[in-house]
Amino acid sequence: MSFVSFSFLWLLAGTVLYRLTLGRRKTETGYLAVLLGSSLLFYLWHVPSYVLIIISSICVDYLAGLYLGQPGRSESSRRFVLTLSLVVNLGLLFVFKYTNFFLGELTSLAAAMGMELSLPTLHWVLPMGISFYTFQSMSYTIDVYRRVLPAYENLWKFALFVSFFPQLMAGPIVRAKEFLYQIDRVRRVHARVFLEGLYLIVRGYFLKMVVADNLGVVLESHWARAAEEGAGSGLAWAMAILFGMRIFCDFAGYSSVARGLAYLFGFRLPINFNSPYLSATFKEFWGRWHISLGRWLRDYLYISLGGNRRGEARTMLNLFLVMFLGGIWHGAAMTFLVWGVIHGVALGVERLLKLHERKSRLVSVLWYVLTQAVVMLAWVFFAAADNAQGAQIVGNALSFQGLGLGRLPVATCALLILPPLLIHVRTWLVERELLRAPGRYEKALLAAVMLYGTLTAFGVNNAFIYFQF
Amino acid sequence: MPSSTSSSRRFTRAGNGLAIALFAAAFTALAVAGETLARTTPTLQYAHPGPSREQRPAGHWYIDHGLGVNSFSHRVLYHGLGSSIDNARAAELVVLGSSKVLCGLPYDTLDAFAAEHDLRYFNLGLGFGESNVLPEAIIRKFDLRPKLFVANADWFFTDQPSSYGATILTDGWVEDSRERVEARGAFFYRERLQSFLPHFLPTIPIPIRRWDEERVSAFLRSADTGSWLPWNALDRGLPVDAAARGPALPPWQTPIARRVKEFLESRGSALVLTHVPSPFPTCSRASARALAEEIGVPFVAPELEGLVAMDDLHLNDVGAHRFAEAFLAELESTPVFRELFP
Repeated sequence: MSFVSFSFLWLLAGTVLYRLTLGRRKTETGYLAVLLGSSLLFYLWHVPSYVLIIISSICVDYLAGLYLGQPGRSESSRRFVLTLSLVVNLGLLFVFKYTNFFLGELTSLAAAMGMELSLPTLHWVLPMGISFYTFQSMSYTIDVYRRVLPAYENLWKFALFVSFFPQLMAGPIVRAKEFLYQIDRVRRVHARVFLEGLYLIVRGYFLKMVVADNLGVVLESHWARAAEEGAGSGLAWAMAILFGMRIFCDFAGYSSVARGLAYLFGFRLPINFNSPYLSATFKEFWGRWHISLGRWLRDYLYISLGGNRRGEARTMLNLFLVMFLGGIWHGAAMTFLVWGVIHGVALGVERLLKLHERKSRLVSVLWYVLTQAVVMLAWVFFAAADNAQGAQIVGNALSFQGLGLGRLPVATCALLILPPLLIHVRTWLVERELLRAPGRYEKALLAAVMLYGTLTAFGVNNAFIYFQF
Repeated sequence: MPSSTSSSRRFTRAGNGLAIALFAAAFTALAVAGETLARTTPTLQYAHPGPSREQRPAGHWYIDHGLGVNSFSHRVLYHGLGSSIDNARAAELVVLGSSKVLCGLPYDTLDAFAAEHDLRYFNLGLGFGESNVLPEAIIRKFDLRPKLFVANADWFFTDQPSSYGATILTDGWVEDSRERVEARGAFFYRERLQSFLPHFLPTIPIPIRRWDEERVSAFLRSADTGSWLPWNALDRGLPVDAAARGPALPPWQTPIARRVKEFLESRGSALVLTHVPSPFPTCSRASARALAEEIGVPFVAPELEGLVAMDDLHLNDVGAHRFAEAFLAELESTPVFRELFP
């Protein structure tokens, strides 16, 4: 089920009604059952049979957690159970997400070597959000294995943690230790929290339906032209920047709706975006962009690989590997791999030159400009049909020859990117204590403007980009 | 004496109330300003996508295309939702084909023709270039037995449903429910909310054709007669070749057409073929006529000069009315029609 659908509005209305009427403390079984039921309905609304995949993931990690949490188990048996759980989760992810990719690459490789290889293509729809909930579920098992979290004994509550519908499709990737304790917490309805939730929801829908979707129309109309040989440098940069803004509004919009929904139901989800285009370094970028994924990769991959404890060379290799795998995580395509490699190399170079540390003002500004330029150009590969197309657009951008904007609606584009720019400017001012974060009256006015904007200027594409991951 | 906690609670409550009031006032002010702007500015006339209830012709209409809904009528007709299929079953004249017959045979022309001949008709055309497979399934499933079928021969006899048609044939109850909820929500939104909440973006002068095409237009469909009501569809004014030259229909379609004809005849229905013209014909009128001759059915397709289409495939409003009038005049003079509707 998509947040941008009438089905979702019905589900939301029903669930909120229960939230307001069922139970006093909101920890009662009935209320939790409604949340779990809504979550499973939300999932099976996409492809009904796929609900079995998420149930498998829940059962495997629940049982693994129980085993790992029991005292007296030998280390070898615990390691075996953890491995089994990871194999099942990653296996599901691999089968559904990467099988066709690897079969395709194998066929291409064989063709390049002069061999004819005829491998089948599997025609199935990618289960929505599989990359998110498998990571979320795996984090629980790993935490129990590392003994930083006790095993959770209530299967239904654990199922709610994995399948909680506000963040099921595209995160934030919530840790068990951030969520499970909230299930048993009394969560009476507080008007202020409820209103904050509604504000976040309206903000998210505005970013998604007005900014991201309308930018999507502009991008679709001009992308191919920007990929032509000799197309203007200005157009290539415009495409990179517009896509950067689009994906921010699309994904941050989803995250905002997710956090707002969680507030309505009495839960708190972590912030997933914090004005990423303010980042002065690549390291900072990964602390502001898709924060929950960045933390996951750091805690469960980077640290497991040794982090920065095994010398500079190994640290850089680890950074590269993490971003390489982070790229692959996004999608089964060579373009995502290139995107990950660019970030991996950039992080390594930054570390090598110690540019992530304190530096002079001039160097800071220059490195900020370079960081953002690389971030924007890397998005081109994220959005490109293939690497050749991505390379052509980046090549055009770096040729610095001509504008070539053609019929690009510059004024409309400027209008559309104004909201994300204002968000970033506001964050910049708030972080320097030059301005306060918006209070409730300002939020009320903003919500009115954004809701009216959403209802009267919504765009046409209603699929969230990150749903495909 | 009230405690400081309860006093602070009261303060918070009052603050929340004020925030809600502020929100409501700001939203209302925007809505009034926007509506006034949309009603008083000529260039913003398209900001109301409509058609509202007052703008619609009489009868029961539902949203078929637009606002996130894509050919809901596939589902309406195959799953027998609402009264559509009862009306199709009661019709004596049923039209088969793709969106070309839905655009090419406007409801008012057909209504007048039906009233004149005291007959009931139903346009069973299906978008997405649907072929014979889904209509045959509908005819079989709901036992449709009209006196006469009129089919647009243009790539209709292929035995290959569109990808959307194939989905409809295999969908389960969840997919079906999902589409129903979306279609009804979209219709409600368009009919009720958009009567006072304009849609401004399409009116911003942006030189991108898609913005106009995809945002403003809506296609309603009549549950009574199956006809389409294109609303605010962009009219590109493309000229249509009167001779309808184009590629020939491939010979493998002939046996399929013959089988469909026999299937319809076994139900007591006659078949007439036609050819609805378009700027870029996917088949020539000559080959459609040849197909009719090969399977032994009448062919009714008037050749008209100066027709105009709204896009690559579909006649515009004026073109469709001209074509429909000429087509119906020719149809009523055929022996098969005179025999079936004396």
